[in-house]
Amino acid sequence: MAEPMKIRARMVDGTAHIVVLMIHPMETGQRKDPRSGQAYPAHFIQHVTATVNDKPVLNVQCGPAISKNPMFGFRVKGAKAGDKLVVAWEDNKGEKSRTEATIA
Amino acid sequence: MNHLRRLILKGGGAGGVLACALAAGLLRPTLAQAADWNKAAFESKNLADALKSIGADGAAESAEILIKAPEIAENGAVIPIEVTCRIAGAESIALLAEKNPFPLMAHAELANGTEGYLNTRFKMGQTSVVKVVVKAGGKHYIAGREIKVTIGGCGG
Amino acid sequence: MSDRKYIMLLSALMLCLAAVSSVFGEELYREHYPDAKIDPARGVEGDVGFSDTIRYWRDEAALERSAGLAEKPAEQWKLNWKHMDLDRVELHPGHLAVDEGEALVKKLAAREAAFLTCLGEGAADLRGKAAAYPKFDAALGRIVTVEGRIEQCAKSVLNEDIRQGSPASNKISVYFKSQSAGKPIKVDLAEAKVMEAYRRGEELFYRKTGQLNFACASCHVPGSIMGHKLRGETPTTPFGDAAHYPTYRTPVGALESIHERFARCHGQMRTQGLKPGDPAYVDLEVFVSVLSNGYPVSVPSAR
Repeated sequence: MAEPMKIRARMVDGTAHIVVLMIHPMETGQRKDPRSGQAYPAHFIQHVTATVNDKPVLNVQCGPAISKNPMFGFRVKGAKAGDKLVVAWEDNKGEKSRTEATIA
Repeated sequence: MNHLRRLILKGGGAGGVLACALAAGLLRPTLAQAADWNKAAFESKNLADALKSIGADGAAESAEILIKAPEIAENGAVIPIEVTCRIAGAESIALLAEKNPFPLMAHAELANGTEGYLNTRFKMGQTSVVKVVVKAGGKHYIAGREIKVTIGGCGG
Repeated sequence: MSDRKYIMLLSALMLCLAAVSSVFGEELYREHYPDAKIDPARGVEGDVGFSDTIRYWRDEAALERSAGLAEKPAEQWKLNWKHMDLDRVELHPGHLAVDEGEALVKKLAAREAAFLTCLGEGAADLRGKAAAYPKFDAALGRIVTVEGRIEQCAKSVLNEDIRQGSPASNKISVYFKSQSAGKPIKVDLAEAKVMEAYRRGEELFYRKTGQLNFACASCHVPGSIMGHKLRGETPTTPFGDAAHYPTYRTPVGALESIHERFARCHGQMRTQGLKPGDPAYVDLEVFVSVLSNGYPVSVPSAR
């Protein structure tokens, strides 16, 4: 299991403002080892999903162009303080992480 | 599968479909779509192909998509971007960088009250136009903005 | 001794003398940027009548009102990058550094509890402590910065080197300072040693150096290029700036302490940077920290 995410989720004017920070190298596969000349193998998050009270609210497919330690901010109308937020990611090597948070 | 996912994301009435799929053991609840990363789209090598593979060729230019990003990025590895879409009923937001080896950077589907808004950070090797494609009401809209990538500035 | 040899010896001696006198005898030739006459007692409010941009970033309400400036490239500098501190929009690796720093402090304190009480000068609770830095430590007989304190405690308690500017030092510093986030900076000007350091730092701020013969002031006082384009950037006011260090630097992709930032500036000014912790940098940190007096500690931050 990869490291947990850092999540901030709070209500602003009736909308849940959610920010998720993931710990991941997001290796593009383009970068080369200067000594061997070999490219570092690509290793990046391909899917990020979020649910609020088990209803899917966000489903991101990512390429390697998303920065190292990816951050996604999104806003959910209709969510309430106390709602359960679950964010999960999966990368191209099949590694996964899942973190729960409560909207404040 | 794509069709199924759209139904799932529509939520509400699609709950039955999801339940069926779950019962059939086809899907896991949090990563229902893990299998179908859009390889063709993410491996397209030019903007036109990438747009086509997400079904956004012929998208209409729109001034209702606001892109907040630095005019000049000092570090191409971490460029902040914040997209706000004023078109009602945004269903998805895609980010593309024209001159990246693979232009499509992210494709976000929004459902169950998620607003037409996305904030993230991305990489770009050189100065390029960044395109944002929003799908709303079944139609695609596009907006673009140039971001210059420099090295060795001294800001902050 | 032949005359010729005598003359050679004499001229060699004179050359030596000339070299020695240029180092010890006379002052080195230095140019200074005109003094902007900053009053240290006003703290961050000294920006009123200086860059006057403080009205846009004095507090959250002001930032809220002027948030639109962030989108105007020509005016963004007026926010002094403080809009990036409105952290409810953002999570950045600076936030991860707080957790990493905390874990590191806990690990070191588990080995030797005195490490934590050394950082907290007798107390294990670090809350609010960092707002008073840099400060004069009478026992050590010198000015101590947060990173200097970390280095000193690691050495004296753990016999370990946590060098200033190292990733470990920056993480612990970010954690330490985050424990004072929101607390107004209060560098003690009543302490004579602090005031002496302030004056030395002030002199360094105006002293020109390097191939380009630049002073800090060449870019950061009214009438200089402050507010004007310098390549892709616009230099801002030095007031309120020290409050967010160490910061996660997006152009670098890593944490950077204020001393590392000074050294990076020096590189860009085509002069030799100094090592983090150098007494000259400590003085400069005292100077800019005094210009943040009254402004809240804004750590973690990203720039």
